[in-house]
Amino acid sequence: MKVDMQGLTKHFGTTVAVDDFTVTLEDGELTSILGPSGCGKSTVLNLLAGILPVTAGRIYFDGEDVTGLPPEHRGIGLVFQNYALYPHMTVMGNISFPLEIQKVPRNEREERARAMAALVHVDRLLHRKPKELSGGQQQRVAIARALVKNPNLLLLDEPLSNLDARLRLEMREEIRRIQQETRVTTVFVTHDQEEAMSISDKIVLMNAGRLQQEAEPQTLYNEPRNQFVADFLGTPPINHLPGRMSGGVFTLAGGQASFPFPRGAGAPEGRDLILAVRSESAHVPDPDEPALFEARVESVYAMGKEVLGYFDIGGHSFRAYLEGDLLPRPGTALPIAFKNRGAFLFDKETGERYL
Amino acid sequence: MSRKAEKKYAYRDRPVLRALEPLAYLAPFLAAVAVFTLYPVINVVMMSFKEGYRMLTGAYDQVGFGNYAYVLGDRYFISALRNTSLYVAVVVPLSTVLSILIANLLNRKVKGMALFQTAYFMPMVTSVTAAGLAWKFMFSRDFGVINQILSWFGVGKINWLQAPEWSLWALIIYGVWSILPFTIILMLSGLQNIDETYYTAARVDGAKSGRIFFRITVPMLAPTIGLVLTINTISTSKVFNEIFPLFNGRPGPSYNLYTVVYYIYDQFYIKWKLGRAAAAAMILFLIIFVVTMLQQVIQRRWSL
Repeated sequence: MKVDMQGLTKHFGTTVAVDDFTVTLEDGELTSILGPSGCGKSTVLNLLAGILPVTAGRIYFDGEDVTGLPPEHRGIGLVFQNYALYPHMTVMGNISFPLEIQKVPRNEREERARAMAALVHVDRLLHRKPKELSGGQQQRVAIARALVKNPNLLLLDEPLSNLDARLRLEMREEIRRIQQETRVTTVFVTHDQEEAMSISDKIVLMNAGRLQQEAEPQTLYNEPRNQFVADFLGTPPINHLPGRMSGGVFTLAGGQASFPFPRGAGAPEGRDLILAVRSESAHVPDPDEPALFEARVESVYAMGKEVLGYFDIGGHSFRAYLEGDLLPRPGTALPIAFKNRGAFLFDKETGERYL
Repeated sequence: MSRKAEKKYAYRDRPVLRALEPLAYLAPFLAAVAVFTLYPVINVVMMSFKEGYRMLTGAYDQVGFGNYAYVLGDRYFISALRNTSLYVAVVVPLSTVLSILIANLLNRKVKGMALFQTAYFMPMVTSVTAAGLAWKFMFSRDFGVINQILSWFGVGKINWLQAPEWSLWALIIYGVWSILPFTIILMLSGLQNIDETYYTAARVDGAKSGRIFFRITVPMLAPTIGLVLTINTISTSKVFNEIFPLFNGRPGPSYNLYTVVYYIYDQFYIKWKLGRAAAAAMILFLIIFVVTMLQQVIQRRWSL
C-alpha cells in the first residue's frame, strides 16, 4: 500500500512535535523514520496509526483519505517498543487475539496464528506465556501479532531498543527477512542510524519535527542535503573544520592554517563555513599524490582491522582512518588529502550545503 | 593500632555478640508485639479450653472442650454463623464487582475527577458510628431517602431496620458502602499498574471497550482482585461495629442479627462467659483461616 503524508503537523499545546511533514512511502518498501529522540518520529508513527489526531495535514492510504479514520479501520499492524504482549495469554492467545476481535472462527484463527508463528520462527513456543520467552522471542511474537490480520501497513516503534547488541543484530535481519517475505509496506522508527542504514529501502531523517532528507541509505550518507544529515550519519561522527573560503583557499577559523581548496570555490566568500569530512575520506596520500595540507598526529588507535588517527591542524582536531600498516608516532606531521566523496562544505549558520 | 580500632576489632571478633546485635535493634518492636499481640492470642487459646473461667481470680473448673461444645450448640451462635456467612457471601463479591467498575471509571482522565475521587473515598474518613447514624435515617421507614427513591419505582415502604427479614439486607447495604472506598483504592492502584500500551494495542486491533475490559483489564487485575478478596473476606467476617448505630446497640430488631464477633462481644462483656467467648473466637479464626487458605489455592490456579 502506498502511503502519502501531506503537510502533516502535530502540536501538543504550544509544542510543535511534527511540522509540515510531507513524505510518500512506496508500496512494499521498508522505510525507516530516523532521528534523535524527541524529533517527532514516534509522533509521525502515531499519526499514521491514528492513535493521535493530526493538527493539520492529510494522510492517504492508496489515495484514500484516512486522516479522520480511527486506528481499527486503518488496517495497520503495530509493534510497540515494549512489545505489549498480554502477559496472561499464551503465545497462541496473543497472536490470535486480533483475529478473535474480528470474530474469525476458532479453527481458522488458530491456523492463521500457527502460520504466522512459523513465519517468525516461534511455532514451537505456542503454549508459553510471554514471561517464559527471551526478549528476541517476545519481539517475534509481537511481530506475528501485528501481521496476523494481514495489515496493509506494518508500523514498528523502536522495536529493537530493548534488546542486547547481539540480539538486535539478529532481529534486525529477521525483520528485514519477514518484511521481504510478506512484502508488507513497513515503517520502522529508530534513533539508531546503523539500524536504519542496514534495514531500509528508504530513510526519512527528521530533526525537531521537520523532515531533513528522504533518500536511500547510501544517498543519504553520500549526498547529505544539510549539515544535520551529515552530522547524524556515520561513525565516528563526521569531522568539522570551521573556516572561510576566499579565492579558492580555505582558511581555518583562528587563522593559524589555510590551504588551497579549489573544490570549495562555489561556496560564498566571507561566510562562516564548516568543512565536514568523513573520517574514511581523509587519508594520507601516496607519495605521488598531492596533499591538501599537513597535520600533526595527536594519537593513534589501532582497532583490529583499521587504524584511526587523531590529528591537529591549526588548533582544530579531526579524525582520519590510516591505511596500510602506517602507525605514526604522536607529534609527527603527515600529509593529508581528501577523497572526492565524503567532503562537504556547509553554511555554519543555516546548515545549507554548498559542496 | 589505636585503642578505638582495637575495641572495634575485638567486637567484630565475637560472633555471639555480632549475632545478637540485630536483635537489640528489634527488641522494642518485638516487646510490643509480644505484649500486645502474642500474649493476648496465647491467652485466648488457653482461655477457650478453660471451663467456667473467671478473669478476676483466674480460677476455672476444668480444662476441656466444654466451651466449644456449648458454643456450637448455642442457637444464637449458629444464627450468628449463618448471618456472618451470608453477609460475607454477599458483601465481598458485590463490593469487588462494584469497586472494579467504579475504579475503572475513576481511572479515566476527565476534568473534575478529583471531586469524584474525594466523594468515593469519603466513607473511609468518616467514623463508622456517625455514618451509621446517617444511614439509620436514610433507612427510616417513613422518612428515609431510600424508601423515598424506591417509591418512585413503585416499591412499597420497606421497614429496613425494624423488620427482621430486611435487617440483614440493611446491614449488607451499609457494609458494602463502608468497605467500598478502601477496595476502590486497591483496585485503582492495580489499574494504574496496567501499562497503557496494552489498551492501545487492543484498540488498534479493533477491540471494543467491553472486550478490553473482560479480556485485558480484568485478567491483568487478577492479582489485585485476589488480594481484595482475601482482605475483604477477613474484614467482613469480623462484622460488628456496623451493627450498633443501625440497631440501637442491639443485634438486630429482634435479636436476629447476631454476627460471630457480636456473639463474642456478647459472651465476653455482657454475659461474662470468657471461656465461651474465647472458644467462639477460636472457631471464627479457624473458619477464616480455612477460607483464606482455600482462596489462596484457588487463586494460584488461575493466576498468571
